[in-house]
Amino acid sequence: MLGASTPVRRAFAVHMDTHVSIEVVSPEPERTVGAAMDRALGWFGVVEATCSRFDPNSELRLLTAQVGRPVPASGVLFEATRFALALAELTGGAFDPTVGRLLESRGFDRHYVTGEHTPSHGAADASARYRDVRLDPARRTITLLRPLVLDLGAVAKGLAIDLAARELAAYPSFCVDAGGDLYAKGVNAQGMPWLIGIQHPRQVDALVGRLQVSGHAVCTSGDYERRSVDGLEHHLVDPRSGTSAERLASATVVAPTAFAADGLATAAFVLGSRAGLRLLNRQRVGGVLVEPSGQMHTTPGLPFLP
Amino acid sequence: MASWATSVAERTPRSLVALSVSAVAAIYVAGFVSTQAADTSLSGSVTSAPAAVTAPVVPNRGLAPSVAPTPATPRGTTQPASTAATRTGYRDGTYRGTGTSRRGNVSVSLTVQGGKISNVSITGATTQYPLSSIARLPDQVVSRQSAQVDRVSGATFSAMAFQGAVQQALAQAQSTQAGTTAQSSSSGAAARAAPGGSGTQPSPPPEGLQSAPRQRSAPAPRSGERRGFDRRSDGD
Repeated sequence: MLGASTPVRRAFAVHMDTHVSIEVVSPEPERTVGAAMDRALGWFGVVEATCSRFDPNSELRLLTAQVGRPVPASGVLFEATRFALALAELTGGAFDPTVGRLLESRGFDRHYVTGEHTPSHGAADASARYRDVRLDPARRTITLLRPLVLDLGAVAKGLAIDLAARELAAYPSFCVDAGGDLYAKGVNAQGMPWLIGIQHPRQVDALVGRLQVSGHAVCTSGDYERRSVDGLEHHLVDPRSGTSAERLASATVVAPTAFAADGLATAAFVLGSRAGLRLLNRQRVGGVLVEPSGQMHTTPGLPFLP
Repeated sequence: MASWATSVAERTPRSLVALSVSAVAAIYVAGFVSTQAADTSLSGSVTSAPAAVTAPVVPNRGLAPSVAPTPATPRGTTQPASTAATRTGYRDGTYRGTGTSRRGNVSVSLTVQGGKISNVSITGATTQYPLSSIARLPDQVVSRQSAQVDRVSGATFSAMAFQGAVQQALAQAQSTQAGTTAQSSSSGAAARAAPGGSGTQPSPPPEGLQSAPRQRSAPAPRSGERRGFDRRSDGD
């Protein structure tokens, strides 16, 4: 049992347009824990450099430039794409990683570091969908059958969180938080399960509830961040209609991995409360869905505290 | 259709969680990570936006904050009103912190009364964010504390520099070293979060805990064997 005075080691970095923070609850020397936290933070840089839609030199953008032939992919790009395509298949396209061109057309093409517009070049096929992306697991190649722009923004952060958590696996208690998408293992410094608040989508200083979490990720997709320049549309687009998904104000998913929680939160957000809950139940993960009206839906058995 | 073109429709697993677990394992075992900063370029288009936003002082509701009393090397300027550290709270006093992000800097003044955060003010900002996007963030710090949560999901700050500034100030408030004075005003944890970089915040363990580590050592750094691998070099 960890006592009330167990030290917490902390590390911070800025990645993926957000603030990444790691806490390790451990009495080990700062030097030892710090090295592990640095390696954990390193994964965010790797995933970002690989999967960024905004960096013209990212592996993802280089892939986008090649149509009709198999392109060898790194493990990060291949697995992120494979997972995104599986999620697309499961949701019948309500989630679709080929939505990149659509996002660009709506103004989500600005690199957060340089502030410059970084649209992809070449004519993307507006009718391209996730089934136009083919994978060869044996050769680890990705083939785009039509010109399209992949967007892995809904899963890349979760993947990076999981890789960071994997790097810290030797520690019984830690939390990796990337701008409100997080994974918490073990207990906090007081020896209690981590208590995670869920941001209220309409009131900046309120929570819709709290979750007791240990060994799980909590990821939230909301309509209240990163709105487009005109302020009318957010970055969560319904690929089927081409417009912003409006059924929910926020979707929070609790799952054993951040990779799954991140992607499923985005998918549930687009699907709405009814189909979203069905997806979460079928995938055996927890969730809290908040409608624009404020009505809240939770999956059964969630360790939810009002 | 060529034989390599495997449709995901034929390979979709029933469980996304299972797929995510195997994906993470596959990447991790492949064993490459760049410990070098992926991007060291600073934004050249930071605009000035002086700000003075003050959160209302919220009465202390409930118990002590759930944030751990973490010993930390104090940074920045410290003006402790009291050096008596409560067991689970922060030391009373007013602390300043500056956070750095790729979008600019934010400075805050944070006041602790009775072991709890009573007020957070933005004292200065040079960011690309519109002021309106960070004006209400001080409220959030105080309300999180009263909710006693460790973290908040979905609370993507519009201004990460603000969060860095608050964490820098809190690191001082959590220090168990009484009567400490400024060591540095610009190299705190938040500043370490500068573009592309990462860093740890020195936090000497309190007395009595140093000699009895209760778990095995962390895995030996593998960055040596992995450092220098290009992100494409993990290919078969």
